[in-house]
Amino acid sequence: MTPNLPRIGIVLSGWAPAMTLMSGVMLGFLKEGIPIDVVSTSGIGGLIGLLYLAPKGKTPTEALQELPNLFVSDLLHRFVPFNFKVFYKNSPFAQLAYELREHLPKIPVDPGSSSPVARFINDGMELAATALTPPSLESYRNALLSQTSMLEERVDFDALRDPNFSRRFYLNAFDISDQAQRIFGNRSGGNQHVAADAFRAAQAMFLLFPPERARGRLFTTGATHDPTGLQAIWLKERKLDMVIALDPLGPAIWRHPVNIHDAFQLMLLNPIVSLQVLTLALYANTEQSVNPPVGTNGPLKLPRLYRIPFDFPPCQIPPAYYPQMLEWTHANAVTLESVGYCAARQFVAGLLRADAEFERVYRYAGRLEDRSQQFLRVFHAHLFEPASRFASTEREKYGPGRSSGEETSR
Amino acid sequence: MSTVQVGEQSAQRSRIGVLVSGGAPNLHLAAGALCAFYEHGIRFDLIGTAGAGALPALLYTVPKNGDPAASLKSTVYINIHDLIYSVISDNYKIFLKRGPWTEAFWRLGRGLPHFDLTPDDRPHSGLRRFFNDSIGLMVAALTPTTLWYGSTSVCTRAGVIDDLVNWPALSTHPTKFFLNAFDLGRLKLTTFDNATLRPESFYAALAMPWLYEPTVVDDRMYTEGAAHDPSGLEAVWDALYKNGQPEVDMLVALDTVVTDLWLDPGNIQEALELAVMDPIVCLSEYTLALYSRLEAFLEKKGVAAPKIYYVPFPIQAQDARRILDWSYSNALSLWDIGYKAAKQFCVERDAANQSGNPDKFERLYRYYRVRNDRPLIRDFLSLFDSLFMP
Repeated sequence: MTPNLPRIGIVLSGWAPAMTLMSGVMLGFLKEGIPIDVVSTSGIGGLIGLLYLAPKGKTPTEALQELPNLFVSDLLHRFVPFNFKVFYKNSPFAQLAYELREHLPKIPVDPGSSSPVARFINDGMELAATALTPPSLESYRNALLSQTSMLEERVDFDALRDPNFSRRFYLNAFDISDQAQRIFGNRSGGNQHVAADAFRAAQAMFLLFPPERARGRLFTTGATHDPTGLQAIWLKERKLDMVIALDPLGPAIWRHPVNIHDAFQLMLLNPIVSLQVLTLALYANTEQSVNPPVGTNGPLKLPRLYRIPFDFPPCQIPPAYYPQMLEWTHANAVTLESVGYCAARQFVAGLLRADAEFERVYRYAGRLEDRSQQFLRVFHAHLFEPASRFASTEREKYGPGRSSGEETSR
Repeated sequence: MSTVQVGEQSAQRSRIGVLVSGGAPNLHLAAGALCAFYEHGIRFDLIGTAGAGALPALLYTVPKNGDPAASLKSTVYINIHDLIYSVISDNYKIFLKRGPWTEAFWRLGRGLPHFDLTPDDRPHSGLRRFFNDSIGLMVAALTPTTLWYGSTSVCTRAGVIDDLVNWPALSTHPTKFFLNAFDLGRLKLTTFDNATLRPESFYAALAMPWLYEPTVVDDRMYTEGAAHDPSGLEAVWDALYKNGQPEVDMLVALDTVVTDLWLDPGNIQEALELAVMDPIVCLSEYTLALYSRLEAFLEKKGVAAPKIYYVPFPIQAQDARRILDWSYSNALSLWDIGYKAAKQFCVERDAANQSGNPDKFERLYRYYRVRNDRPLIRDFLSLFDSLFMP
């Protein structure tokens, strides 16, 4: 633990097959002992955030390290390229099938080990069970898949909601009953309290899952309306010093498909990632515009936004690897986990230095993608160009201040 | 060029732009609206489009038959006879199977006997449409496909658009026309304009992944622009100002039917379309909402900027479920909704100009006044509160 650390929030959001990139990052923060005060999530980022904060019967590190075991044997994935272990076909028997499958005899495998034979046998049994799960023609009405309690059972929601639990968690979902984005949290009361039904609501992406009913209202995932998780930050957590976002990796999605399955995923993800990239850019430019420059002591109006990049060696995802990021193979899970872990540790090293180099490399607004800059030009001249909204008078009032690490201390 | 006058600019001719956004459900709504604008004598100075919005906008601007109103009315024939659609809920007339023989079979189908339908036939052409669409179905069924797991799209292009659009006329047309596409090499949007827009670039701009392969134009590879800016605002942006002064006084944004689309899907096909449309509609809404707030802010500061207005498409609750259908009856319903909505917009605009009092028009149609108070948009815009401090 390092004293004088800023109050840190992190936003977690991403594509489900790349979930271990997020878990790797959180494992990196755990390893370095960096406390995260606020975790705001969207879509599958909710699972990572929940396992980080409130895993059931395990330590956060153990819970996060187990995730590669949710992925499919590399060998089997060549013939069945989807995740039949996590995604259950739309059936009224899905939950029952899950419970029965939990009792299948399995060969213990270390999550990080390739163990090709053991994984092939284990996952082969899962595949057979999937094939034998009876579908319901009627239930094919409006989604391909059914949700089960598989993921939510890994989370201790009671611990998360305990009044003594000091850290804050947010998860978004879209309320189609009144066309509004809802943010479930562990601190807010009433209908907004996070629980298993909120988690399911947050995963209910059209086509994959039917809309989920929670607290008497009908929800779909919030990831198609705020795929960043940043909305909870600007609506509820403005007192943080910094918020960290993972690189949205637009180029990994904005590319030529390699097969029809890949093309289908790109169709669904293209606009979501676009919305994610542009929202991050808008937030980055806004916070840079309204906040005092680093090195001055004025109060922050929005937490500063930083990015964990995945394009710096050795923590790099090479472009040639991008198509594999959407595969549910165990090898992909382990690869992304190691990249995330490495990138987070590099980020922490910079954070502790708190120097100009850290600002240059990691401040989001300083390294906007070409697409973001292109989009922002629409608003730039009148909205962001008077960037010094932290007016000179305010600068004079607060003085030049100290280094960025000191000024944001707890 | 335009005949509509705007607020304080009423002493001189107002310059108007229109944004026709992406999304297949908007096709007939936009076609109806643009037809109403055309019949009302409105000629837009610039048109910004994204995705499927490009088709009605091209028909408004450079229809092959030289008659924009007739072309826009005939868009409903793109849809499928209800009886056939009730059995096969797919628009096989525009989504053509993937394969090397698709173009040949499509041309063969065009050569088969069929009824030529005019706009006047729209209400009473049931049997003839059934015949035409049955022939189309037969040809579609017989078209061989090479689709397999290694394919990178499910559909193949054919020259459908060439029958509808007079491409050569676009390059000399006085209306500035823009369509966006996403450049996979530069990872940025590219805007095709009057000089560069032709069939290949049109297809490139509508190359939605999975449906169509990325499309090469002049050695650059593109996919659908609407997945990145469905509003069309970015497409027109560089033409909106000249020497720091706005080139148009008002931008008219057609409804994105957003609130009607966010519903519990009725079947798997609807769920698929919602999965694609959901973030696209949201992106469009956020972009336009932020721009509308900015221009309202600038207006208060006395800085000239194009004002943005909104043409709502009031979809009744019982029709919302059918918005995504490709049935003929749905096409007619949507077309009429779009037509009436735009006509009312024109009537109110005229009344405002004649009375010299724009208050009612502003209250009904100014984007920031009618769209930005919804919870979804309010929460999004709250990020920028500090920037809009006077």
